[in-house]
Amino acid sequence: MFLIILILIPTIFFLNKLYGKNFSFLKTLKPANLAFEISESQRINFLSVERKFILPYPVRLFVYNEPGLALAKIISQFTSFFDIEQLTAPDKTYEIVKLSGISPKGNLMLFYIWEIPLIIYGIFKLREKDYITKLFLISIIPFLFFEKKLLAQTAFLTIVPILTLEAIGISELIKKTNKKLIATGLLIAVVSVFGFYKTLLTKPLSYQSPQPYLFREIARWIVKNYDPNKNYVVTTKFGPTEIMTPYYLGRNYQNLTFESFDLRQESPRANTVYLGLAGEFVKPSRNLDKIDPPGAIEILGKIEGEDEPVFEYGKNIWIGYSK
Amino acid sequence: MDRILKIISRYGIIAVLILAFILRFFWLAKSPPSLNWDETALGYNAYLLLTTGRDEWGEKLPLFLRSFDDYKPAAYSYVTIPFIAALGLNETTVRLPSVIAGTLTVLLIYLLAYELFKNKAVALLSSVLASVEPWAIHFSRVAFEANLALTFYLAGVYFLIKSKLKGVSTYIGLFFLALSAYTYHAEKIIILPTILIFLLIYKANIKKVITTTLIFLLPLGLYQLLHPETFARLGSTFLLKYPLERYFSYFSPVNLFVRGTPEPTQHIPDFGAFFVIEFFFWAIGAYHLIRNFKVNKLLFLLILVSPLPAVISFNWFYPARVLPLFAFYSIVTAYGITKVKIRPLFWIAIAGFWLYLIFNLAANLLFYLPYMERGNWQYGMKQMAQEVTKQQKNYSKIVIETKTAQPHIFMLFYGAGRDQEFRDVYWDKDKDLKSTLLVGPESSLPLEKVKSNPNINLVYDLKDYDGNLLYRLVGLK
Repeated sequence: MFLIILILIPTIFFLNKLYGKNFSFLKTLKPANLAFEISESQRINFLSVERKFILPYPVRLFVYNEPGLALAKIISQFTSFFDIEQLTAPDKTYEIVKLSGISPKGNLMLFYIWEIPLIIYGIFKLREKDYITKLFLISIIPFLFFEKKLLAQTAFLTIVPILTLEAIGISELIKKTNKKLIATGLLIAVVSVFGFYKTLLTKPLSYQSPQPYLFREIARWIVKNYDPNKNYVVTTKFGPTEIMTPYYLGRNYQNLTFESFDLRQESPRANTVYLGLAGEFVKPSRNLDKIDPPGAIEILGKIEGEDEPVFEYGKNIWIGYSK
Repeated sequence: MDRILKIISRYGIIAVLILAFILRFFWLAKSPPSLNWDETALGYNAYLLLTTGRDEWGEKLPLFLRSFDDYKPAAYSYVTIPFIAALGLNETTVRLPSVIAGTLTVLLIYLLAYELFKNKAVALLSSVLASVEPWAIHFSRVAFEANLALTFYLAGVYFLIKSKLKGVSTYIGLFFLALSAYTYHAEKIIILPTILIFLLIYKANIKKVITTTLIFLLPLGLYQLLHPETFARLGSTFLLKYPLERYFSYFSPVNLFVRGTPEPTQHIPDFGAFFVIEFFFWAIGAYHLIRNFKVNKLLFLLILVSPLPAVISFNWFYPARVLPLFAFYSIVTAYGITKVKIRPLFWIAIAGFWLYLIFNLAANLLFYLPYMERGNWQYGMKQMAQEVTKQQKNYSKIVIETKTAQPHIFMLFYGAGRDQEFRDVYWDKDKDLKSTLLVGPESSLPLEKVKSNPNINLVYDLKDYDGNLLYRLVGLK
């Protein structure tokens, strides 16, 4: 317990320094933000009756009040931690997880689905070990300070009490269950762990955001195909390639620049290799990956991605050469 | 104090039922803002069954309505007939059976909770919760077959508990369970596990119970076998993929209390199925329910089987298919409340916050939903149908463009008849038609082009609250 509290305070400070500016949940509780939200909902409700009716003042005072809204937000934030889909299968359940505004990419599952009943069973077998509940309530505090999209970063301290609960559940279950059932359960667990790691190692794009993958693959292509007699332009359209790609390049390359380009608007430079999204070569639209670039550009290759990093700019990086 | 408690315990349920009815009935035609195509189809088919004994496809006294080739169970339409006979065909009469079913559900939850816990406080609290909870209010204000089926299902469960599978009440219980299967597809899947749970607990004569159930279900089974097309809905929704994840999503607190459902017509904006404050009491109730498994095993097992219909369909978190689960959750939450021992001052604070949430729900339901979510409810179809009805006598042909909104059913419901042509409108091609009324959006009937044509005798724009164009009616001489 002491250890958790000891970790807790620097954790909150560290996370706040890192994410406080953009992802702070506390900011949404500022009186000015609450007042704005309340006046917005009052405005919409007034418009809905074509400005003909307004609730009596005492009712409005009760319905649209800042402390009530703040409390509802805090309880919702706490409850939103208990998100079985987000914790066990964010990619498969994207249809519902997206309502929380979390991308399935870059957010790996934290538990296997079969661990959920074990954790619940552990709760019921807690008995006198009540300190685990307290431990959980303390370890969830950092999660309450930030938006839910940082779940993996802000809720990692809860792993200790949750795994303890699961361990209690498993040990109690082993005492009561026959060996054949245990062996079957173990087999299911092994198969699912194998399945997870197979995906993790062989299909990184299925769970990763496309950007980091593309940063690396662009660098790999340059390293492999570099010709000092040509110029190279790498797009900055989908992220800081000028920072990330040199990391993978390992050394300085001559004639290499990082900039966003639009080859529909500007004339391609001579003797230049362009590495960019399809939408920088042709007009952005859907299904860009099935069409060809304009005649002046010769396509040397494509780096295939799984998602569009920029809306309607295509999934793939095109490598086009202008003579 | 004792006297007050006595009065509450004796008359409380009456007050709760009155509150439940008011919350379900008030501004019924205004929120949700218009009938959607399913409600319209149920209402119009009820009207046809009343006047001709046949559905819109000419089928005599059907058990399923072919409707949009989705073969809806016809029970809701049959139940709606007396309301239409008494009050005419309109939005209120189509939704009224759901309002009454929703109010009866509150009563059934009271009775069920009492039978399960033999505790009046749990029973009354369960009914109070069910009378105000977002899921219960929303589903009772829309013509959902699922809501009517829930009432039948809970009635069935109640009579089975009451009878302990002995005596006449058993047959009444089985009859209601079977009736729920006639009313909504999801109940077809859970009634058998439900009956098995009762057999397991009360160890009654299996042969008698199963035979009775099969007799009640025989007409339904035979009808479906003779009309295999009635399985269309199963074909279009069935999917057995990630069953465990789907199953657990109905136990996921964030879905129940915060996030709600992605289904556009199954939620009140900004609310989950339950109030967020209920989470704590639900968790406490569930904890005690499992800790006292031997006493509460019936409720526990009913909860376990309730999500089954939703597990084998492609939607994620689809409340209409698990309404029995939500009803049981209301009981669990009430049970949780009775297990909490805190100071009266805290209870006052909690009750105050709860009241705040209820008022907010009412504001969202009555103001926000009809305005901001009108698109989900095919707002504008009624207005368009009424305008077409007014104008159609002046034209020999009416062409209506809309690809997905099933406009024909709105035309029939609002009295425009069935003589329209439904297809895309191409102004450049259609501008030369004679004595024709064209109905379409701005993209198909661009104002500048339309106005420059000397052949027109009518341009009428139907607009929404914000002045956005819904449909344009253009009359050609």
